[in-house]
Amino acid sequence: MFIHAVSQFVTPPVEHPRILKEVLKGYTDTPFRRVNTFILLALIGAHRCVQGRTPSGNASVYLTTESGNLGDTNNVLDQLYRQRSLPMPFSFINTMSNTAPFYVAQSLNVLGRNLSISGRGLSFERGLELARLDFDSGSVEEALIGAVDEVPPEGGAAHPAVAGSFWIYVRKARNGALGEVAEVRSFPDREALAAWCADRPVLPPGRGLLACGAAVSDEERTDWQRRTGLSLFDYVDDYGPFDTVTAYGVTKFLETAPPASLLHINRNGQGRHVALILNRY
Amino acid sequence: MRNAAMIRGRAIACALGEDLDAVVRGAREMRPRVAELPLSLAGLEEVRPYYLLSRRGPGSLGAAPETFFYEVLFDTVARALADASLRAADLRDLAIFFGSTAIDIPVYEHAYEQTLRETSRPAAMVSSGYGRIADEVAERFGIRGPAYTFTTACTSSANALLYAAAMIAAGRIPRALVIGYDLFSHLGFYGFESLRLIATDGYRPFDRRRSGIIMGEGCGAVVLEADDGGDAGAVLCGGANRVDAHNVTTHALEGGAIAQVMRDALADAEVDAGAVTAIKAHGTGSENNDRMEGNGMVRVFGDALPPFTVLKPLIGHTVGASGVVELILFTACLQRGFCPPTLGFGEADGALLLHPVTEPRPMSRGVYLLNFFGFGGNCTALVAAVRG
Repeated sequence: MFIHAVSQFVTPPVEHPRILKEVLKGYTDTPFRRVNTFILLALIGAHRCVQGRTPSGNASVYLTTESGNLGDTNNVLDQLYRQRSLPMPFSFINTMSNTAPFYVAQSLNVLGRNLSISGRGLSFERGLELARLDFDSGSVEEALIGAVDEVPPEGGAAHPAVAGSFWIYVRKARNGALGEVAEVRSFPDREALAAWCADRPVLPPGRGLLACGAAVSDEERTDWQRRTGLSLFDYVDDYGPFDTVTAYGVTKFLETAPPASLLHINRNGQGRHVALILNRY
Repeated sequence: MRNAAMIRGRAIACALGEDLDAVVRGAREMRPRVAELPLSLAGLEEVRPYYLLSRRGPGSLGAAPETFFYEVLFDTVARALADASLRAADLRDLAIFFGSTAIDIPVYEHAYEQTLRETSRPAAMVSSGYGRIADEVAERFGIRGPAYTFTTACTSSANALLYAAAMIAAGRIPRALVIGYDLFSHLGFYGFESLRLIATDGYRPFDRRRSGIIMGEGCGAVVLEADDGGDAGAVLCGGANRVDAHNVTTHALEGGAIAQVMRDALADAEVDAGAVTAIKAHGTGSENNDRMEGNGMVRVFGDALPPFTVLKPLIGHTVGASGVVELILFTACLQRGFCPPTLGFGEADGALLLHPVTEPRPMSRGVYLLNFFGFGGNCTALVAAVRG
């Protein structure tokens, strides 16, 4: 699964979706009506990613998200419980998070698979796993894989300060690629990942980098660094933890790092681990 | 024909009941249970039909919804795991594939309403995250495999089945627990009412007089594992997903994308269209859905359209749960020797002239196509084989 383009979009909470509509106009002339913040975030990231390219009509879209559409869900509940009225039809439709990959597909005319996927704390990794499965089986040869999340409303001090939309455009063909998703591997716990790392050098020391997800503690990160002998590539401190921070880290590596390999380790609250290996050419 | 994964265990909770034999009996005897729910929250004096879970007692809507939500979920999963007779080590390695439209909305909206009464600032709350429910199942049953949550509207758990079977076939996982789950929510009930999609005079998919959908609650859980090559049981042979970019709420009427996803599914399963014994149509009963699905089926099968049926008049449209719930109901009926009927059908739509199965029809071993479509143009088709 070769990476041909990457995009990053990070924004503090926006007061009105029209602010994002203005941003989107920088990437596409297509007008979008009845879309909300979550959908606009997805559109900005996806269009920015493929700018100057024309994905094939069979390309697929894998949108990963931790919480999906938050804004319109709250709008609909407000219409129901506070205003005591029927919800606005398109507010209701837009509570379903798969409307975002739909609009990505419609606006880019990519008519392959179209999925909205989550995995608590590991959503981006789960999307990569499923996409790799489809690539390996031959059912998909080209795809956009994105991570999109809003800022939860009324955030307190512990809440993330930014929303994000991070995308990679992947193809089966290597020609012209900037990198590669070389490995996506799930483990039931830390010990199983440690055993996998012990079996072989995951990456050659001195030629690879190690990054850890936001849920990996300082102690655990230090332990992985000791086990692998890799230099640390840090990204979590840039904005602090937020729902799409893993995809931010991956796309940051692909956009800014010199040619190298990255071992990315992440975990969720139940201790499941996922290891990614990405190569940047 | 490719056999991607066999169904080793299964359990269901729906309007027809929770004991699978009783559910199948209800389907054979065509005895749906439909409640009427008021639209009073929106200040309307009308009622709308709804297929509530059989275990719902009078007044149970709104009472401790989080407790009820997890009771139904855990009980259904426990029964499916017991049916699969898994060893402890097998249970630990299970991967979880969860599909739902509403996810935790039934719980969240209740908390929202409570907070609104107390503080008038409910916006401070947020959903607990789409992946939480699968994690709760893992925690409850000691499952350590990966967990994937699919939120693709009414195709959610069909896509969960598609990927679980594909992962097993590829040797990535030994077995999977696939769950489809959607309970009543105000958001869904009033949302579909706002779209004017709820039928008020009976559920009649593909009938000339059809007037919309009737929603239903459902929880289904199946344990899938690599096919043992035996001559009994039901297997998933393959499937496909694609998007129809026509419109976010409706698919293109000519059924082009619908036809393509059926062809893709048959190709993935290595099954010729002529080998299909029968089709479980999605059949929401809305004007557009039945037209586009009918057109799509005719595009694929032409004059040789196999018998087809719609299960929703028996259990309601269980939205994101329908993938797993309808797979269980359909294959269980076939394994007991009949194709369940399309209740409510009486007069063919002149634009389609399609006649679904209207009485329980003797049918068992064979290859079956199962269609699922949803908002956001999502199209999923699965191919299953019943071996007796």
